[in-house]
Amino acid sequence: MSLQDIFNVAISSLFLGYSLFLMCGYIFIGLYSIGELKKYLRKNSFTNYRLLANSAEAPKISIIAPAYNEGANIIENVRSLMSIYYSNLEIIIVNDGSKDDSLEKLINSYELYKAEFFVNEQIPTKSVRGVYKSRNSIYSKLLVVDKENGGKADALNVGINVSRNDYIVCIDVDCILEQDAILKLVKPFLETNKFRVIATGGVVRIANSCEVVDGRLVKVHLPKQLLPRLQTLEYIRAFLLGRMAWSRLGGLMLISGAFGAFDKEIAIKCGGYNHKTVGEDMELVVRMRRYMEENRIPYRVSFIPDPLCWTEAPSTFQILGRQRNRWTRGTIETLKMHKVMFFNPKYHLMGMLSYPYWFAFEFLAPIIEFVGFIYFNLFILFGEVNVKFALSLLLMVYSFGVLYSVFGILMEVRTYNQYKDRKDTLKLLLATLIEPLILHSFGVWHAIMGNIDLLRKKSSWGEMTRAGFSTPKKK
Amino acid sequence: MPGFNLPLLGAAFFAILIFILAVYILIYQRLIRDTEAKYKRWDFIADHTIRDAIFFDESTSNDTDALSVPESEKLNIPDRLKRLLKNKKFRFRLMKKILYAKSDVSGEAGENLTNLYRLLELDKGIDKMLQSKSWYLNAMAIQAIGVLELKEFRDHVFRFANNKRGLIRVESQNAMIKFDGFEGLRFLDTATYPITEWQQIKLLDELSHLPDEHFTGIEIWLKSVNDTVVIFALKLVRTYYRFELYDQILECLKHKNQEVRRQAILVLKELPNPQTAPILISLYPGETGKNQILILFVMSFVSSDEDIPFLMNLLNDENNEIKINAAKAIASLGPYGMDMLESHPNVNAEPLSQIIAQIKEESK
Repeated sequence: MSLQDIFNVAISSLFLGYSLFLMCGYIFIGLYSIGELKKYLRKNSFTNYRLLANSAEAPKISIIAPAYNEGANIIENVRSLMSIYYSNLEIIIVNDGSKDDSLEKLINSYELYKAEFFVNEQIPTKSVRGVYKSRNSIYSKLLVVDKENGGKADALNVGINVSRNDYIVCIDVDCILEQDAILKLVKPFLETNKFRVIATGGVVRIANSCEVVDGRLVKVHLPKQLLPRLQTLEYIRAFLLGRMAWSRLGGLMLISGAFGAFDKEIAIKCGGYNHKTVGEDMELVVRMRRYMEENRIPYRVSFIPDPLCWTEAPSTFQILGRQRNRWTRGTIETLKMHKVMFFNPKYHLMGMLSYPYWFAFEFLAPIIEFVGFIYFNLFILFGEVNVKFALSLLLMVYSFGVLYSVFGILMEVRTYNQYKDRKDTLKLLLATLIEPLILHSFGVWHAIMGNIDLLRKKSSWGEMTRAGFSTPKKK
Repeated sequence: MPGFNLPLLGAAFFAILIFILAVYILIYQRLIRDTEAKYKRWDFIADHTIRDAIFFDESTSNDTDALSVPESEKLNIPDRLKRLLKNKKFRFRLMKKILYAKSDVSGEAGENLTNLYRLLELDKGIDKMLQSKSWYLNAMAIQAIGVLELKEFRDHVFRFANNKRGLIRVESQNAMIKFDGFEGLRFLDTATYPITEWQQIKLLDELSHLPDEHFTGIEIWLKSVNDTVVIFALKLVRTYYRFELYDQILECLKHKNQEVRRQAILVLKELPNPQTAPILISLYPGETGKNQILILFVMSFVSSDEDIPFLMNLLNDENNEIKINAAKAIASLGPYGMDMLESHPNVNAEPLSQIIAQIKEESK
């Protein structure tokens, strides 16, 4: 055997080994999530959430929703938030220096006046231009903060500074929350004395093509457009399997920026959201966990499998590309900022499992996949690789990807069964066949671009335009 | 082995699994649809029977003992329902429905539901559920016993009050209150597991439905080695204004657990006593930052003019949160307090000027 042959075998074995390693990881996650889901659903059947909504002993919550140029839908979005039923609630809308008429619209619609308000700047931010309260007691829960533009992280930090309550719920203003979303999100903070629950996340689902009336989701449909439909599949996999398993393990590292609750005291002690990264949601959770580990305080990051928040997914390749590029940069930036934890036993599960998992599965996976693809294609071209073997390897990886997605759908059907229409399920099953070819490949490409952009020190968020939610057509 | 291709074999295996799972999903979803339709029919019958039971009026009934006598004919239980009772799933669903309905009604209507439960012999399965190895079934049975106040199972419930399974424990503790009212809180005497905040909310809600009563035991729970029991006892003192326990509350201010001390500070807000402000002031330097802020919050309800020097001094604190709360406490003393606030040398400088402006606006 020549040196080149040995090299080829070694490289092929490396790729094969890595593929098997990934597969084992996914199999473990898929199976491990089952127990947690079952336990949650059973436990939940004993819960009367009305109790929490009315109790004076319920924790005080501040919802923080940053808004930038959201003038088109801001009134409806705020109305939707105002309809949340929870007695100890404060809603803070942070106008992040919008260039449109968002603030004027809010002032007029909610009878706002510029109030005397001392903002305790516990986390440094861009300057606050004013805090607005309503003259109308119906809107007494509402607080609108107008500030200089500083990005989402900065706006969220202003919200934390302004907040008067112990827990903060950070959401995207254009998200649609389920009526009992806050109740479900808050409950884990009350359920244990063994640990301090520092953050809770909920399942985010895709609202494209769903029927929305007055800021409320009235009927769930599978997205009609291809890209949002493929993302639906991806979200089911990520939230129902991935995060549920990590939550069970106690190693959850990410809570979606679209909807998550945090212990404000810990968030402030950690310095709030980091505006130097575009992955501020993940970075905050990692930093909070790191803080708890370093201070040896027992803690938990909890996760709720109920679909609590609905968001509009990108429907064009251009916007989706920007999103994936940003996610990649955010992940790498976070991993880099906290590299001290990598296989560091001092950080327990976080250092020995969660961080290495993110490093291997989220950061390295697209790079290895991309390099592997180039490598095999080049070697096929030069006749250096057994084509039959390479293709069967590709087929195996592809079929495993499809299988994992189908398993995700199975879990969805067995738990929440959101897409009740048989046609929707069939379409979702068909989507599993093309998702690895379209969305996954696209994601890998933009992850590579994200890596390159990061090397070029690009730090922009990338514009995220949204089409808005549909309302049922009048017949 | 010639021709052996492991990846291809793997792909074929996965493909078979995909096919099986996909077919299963479609069949399962079909079954869900059928089951939902069936449940809809079941619910209609169950709801109708439950409604009849809730509005059943003994005084207008020909047979005054109709509900308490296990003769289904007297309750007009439809034949359909009698047949369905043989179905285990229907019984379970009906049981849950009765439980749910019972949580929303009280008095005679509630008793009628308990009688209906017995009449349908749903209580026959309780023993089996209690003996089951499934925590879910255990908890379900205990919930049923408590909500429906099935006295014959009362002793079974007590066994579970200190169970290692949280949910079983919670349901058992709730059931004890259902049976014995405030006396049911006796489980706190021996509670070794934590009483979570969620459970505390549930217990306080359960107690809020009972007529006020001067119950005993709090003084023991305030000395419990289980910190969560102490915290809950403090909440009871606060909720039921137990002024006579003032001295015991002061003891809790020395507790090693800062959460216990925190609750104790909060209790003092509800128990007016001229000693409170000086005690809180003496406590202040040794407390955690979070508890210091709480002390100042409570001071705005209990302080007097004599405390102004202490509070004025805190306006120079580096922590703005302290400044805000001290200023609020001073302002709570009325016009004199406001005058004192405005006499502070930094009154025109940030952040004090803004804090005072906010307090003035909020007090309008």
